[in-house]
Amino acid sequence: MAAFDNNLPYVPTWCAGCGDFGILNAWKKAMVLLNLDLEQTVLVAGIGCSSKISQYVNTYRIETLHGRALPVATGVKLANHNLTVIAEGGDGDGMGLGMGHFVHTARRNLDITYFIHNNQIYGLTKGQASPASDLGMITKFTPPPLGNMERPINIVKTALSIGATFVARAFVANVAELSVLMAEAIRHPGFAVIDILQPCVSFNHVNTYQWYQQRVKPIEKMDGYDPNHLEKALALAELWGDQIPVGLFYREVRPTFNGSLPQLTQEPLAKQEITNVDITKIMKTFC
Amino acid sequence: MNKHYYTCLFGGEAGYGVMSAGSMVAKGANRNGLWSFAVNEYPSLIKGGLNSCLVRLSDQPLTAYEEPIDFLGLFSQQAFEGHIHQLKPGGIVLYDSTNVIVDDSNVPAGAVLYPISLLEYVPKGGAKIMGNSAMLGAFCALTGYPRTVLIEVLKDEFHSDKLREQNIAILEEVYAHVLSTLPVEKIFPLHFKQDVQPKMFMNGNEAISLAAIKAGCKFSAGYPMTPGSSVLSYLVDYGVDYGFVFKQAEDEIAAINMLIGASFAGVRSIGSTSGGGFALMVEALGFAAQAELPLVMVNAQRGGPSTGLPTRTAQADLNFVVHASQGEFPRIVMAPGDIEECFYETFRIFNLADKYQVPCIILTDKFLADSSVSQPLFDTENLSIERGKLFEQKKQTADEPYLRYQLSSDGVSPRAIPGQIGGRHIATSYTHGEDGFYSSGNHEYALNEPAIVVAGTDKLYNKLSAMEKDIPSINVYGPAEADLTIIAWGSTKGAVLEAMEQAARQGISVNFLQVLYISPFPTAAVELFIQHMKKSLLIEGNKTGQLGSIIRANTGYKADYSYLKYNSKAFVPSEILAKIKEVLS
Repeated sequence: MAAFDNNLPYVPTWCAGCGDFGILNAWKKAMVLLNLDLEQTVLVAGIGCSSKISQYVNTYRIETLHGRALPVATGVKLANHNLTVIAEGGDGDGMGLGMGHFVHTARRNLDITYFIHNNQIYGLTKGQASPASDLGMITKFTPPPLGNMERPINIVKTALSIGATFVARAFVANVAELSVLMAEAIRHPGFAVIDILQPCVSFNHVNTYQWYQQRVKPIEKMDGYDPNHLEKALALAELWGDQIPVGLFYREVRPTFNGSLPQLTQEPLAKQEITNVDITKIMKTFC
Repeated sequence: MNKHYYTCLFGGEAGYGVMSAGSMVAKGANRNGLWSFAVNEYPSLIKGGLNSCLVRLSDQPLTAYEEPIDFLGLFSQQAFEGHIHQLKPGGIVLYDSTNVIVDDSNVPAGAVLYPISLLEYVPKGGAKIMGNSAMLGAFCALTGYPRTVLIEVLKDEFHSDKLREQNIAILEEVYAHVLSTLPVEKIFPLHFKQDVQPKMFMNGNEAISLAAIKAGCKFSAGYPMTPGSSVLSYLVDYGVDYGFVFKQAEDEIAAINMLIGASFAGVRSIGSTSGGGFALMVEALGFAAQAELPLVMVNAQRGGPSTGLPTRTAQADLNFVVHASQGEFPRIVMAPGDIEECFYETFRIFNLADKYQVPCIILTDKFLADSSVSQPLFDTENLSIERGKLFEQKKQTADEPYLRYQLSSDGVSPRAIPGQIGGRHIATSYTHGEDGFYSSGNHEYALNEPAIVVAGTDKLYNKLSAMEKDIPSINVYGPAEADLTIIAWGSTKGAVLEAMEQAARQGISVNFLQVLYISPFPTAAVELFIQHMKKSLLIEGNKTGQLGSIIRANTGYKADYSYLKYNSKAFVPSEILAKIKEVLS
């Protein structure tokens, strides 16, 4: 794949050291690994620092509203099921406004991939607690002494329990591993989720590179690991603290929503001829 | 030729089949040379309450309903008390004697009362909804409506042979019984005859769905909300044969974003909801505008604000939809006035959405959405699909990149569809430059931000001049000049037209300005028309005269009189005629 095919002339505006750079690199590597036809690929992003990745890759892209990447991705996939559809956004975007969409997209098992840039903070709005912020975290909206009083959303556990059929977690510092996981997620026929741990160097001074580095453990090496077993995956998903498992938690092939619709067994909706639709038959049913 | 009318109303608790009784009477007449207009009223509940179906029949085309009723068929006490005052002098009241106790003081003088124990005729174990077949048997006997006509309709209503036979048997039995009690056989006042051309019997939502299918719309997503969601259920019913996909969404926000996704992927898409659902969609409406993605949304208005009146009509969302969403952007708002406009203008709006890459709103109301009217088959011969400027597939090169938002004199730039070679781009909800990039994503853009913002905003508004030429914004009915001009929009059209007919017959000079496309506001066309207006009467189904204020804002013209109705009911011709006389006196 030519370099032109994966790069755009713009320089990312992320802060120096931002985890998003690692995700961008892994993203490009994943495209190369899959030898994906970028003309047939759509990246659907939310809004936030993470979603700016849509500015820096060269597929078809749509940068949607905050929290709404998944329903837009759903529309794209149903309109043209031949496209590879990737949704992407942050933990705030996806687990705050987007939580309802996350749950319903998972239970539909649409054949789309969802990369969540999880920095446990709202970065672009300059440091408010996110739904994934740890208990007690001091942020602009959760001042001392109490800090964040709400239990964080465990993205992996949530994804497993709502029916995602490919669930993984990765730490951005390991770009090679992340890119392989991303490629596998894209290849997976169904709703694939990767919770990507990604430090925010400007506003999250707790969950830093070092903090993650000390805690992440390859899940394959952990006791009870079996990616074909939901209960075992859920048990490992419970771990968050001294040990944070990373890797593929669970994979299952289940009929997809788009694959089950008789209307979508043939040509995509987008390719159907519409110049001469005959409605005489329906009109007669009203007579 | 004088028009002749006959109006009947079936009323009772939900679950008794009053709607289908009315609908069958209307369909039978519609198939046999008459014109039908059926208005359903129902509260927001599943069982109980008071449902009614008013059916007005005529020997000539109908555009409205009227309340004086020739025949009342009543299943419950509530129905009796709710409708008895609507009976015409000498009208017939058929009621279920087991459910209704008649208080003579309520009954208009000259009314013919006919008690009958309807459920007695339903076989043991049969559903009470079969009581409506008993009602229809008695209706035929008491009015002279040909029972053979109803039996033909009834045959089509049932898919099970057993139910069909049982219902026909009930109808026949009650018919024979009631007939035997009458001194002479009744003759129905309207003449049934073979139709030369078959007519449809269709409501506004059905006409919109049909137009969507004809327009090549292949995708819809939605969340149920009365009275908008029946558009979606019709699309589900008819759509599969046409390769149409409907996705029920988790909420209206998801629904409109799915529509936008499908539109981005190149598929014509439609959504349908009511005011509350539309309120949830508002942010995404602006997204469609900013990303310049075609979108067609139906808002079937009901009473508001908030949950308001789920099943009653109103025209109070006009200001809302014209201004909905933050920032400034052009949109198309079209308010069809009848079934024909629901069909032809919906078809047109799909073309407009594609040609101008703007969000389009079809603004109807419960009355138009839900009332069924006799309608000749639509002429689809001359309807052609226009998709506007589309990108032509070619290899993208570094020195000649594709610019999705390329500036152009008419504000419209060729749209590439994902999958096209050489069309890769970013569609975005951010204010952006020609290539879709924006200031906070790129240092380069930040330097030129003011100029890019102005160019991007002007681009959207540069679409207006072509749009204005392309849109048949107003309709004028009646003489070019008249003593009084009625100004109205949406479903009020039918009642205004009938009131005008009656006024003309009484020598009153009235014409009618229908504003069909309210946004972009047809300032030039309205200003031109205003010059020839003597006196004006604004008629709207809201409290504040919303179209009136839009006209005033755009032209400076203030209507002389207004007739604003916001009591949850649609307009009727007699009330409008009375108003016409009042303001001209």
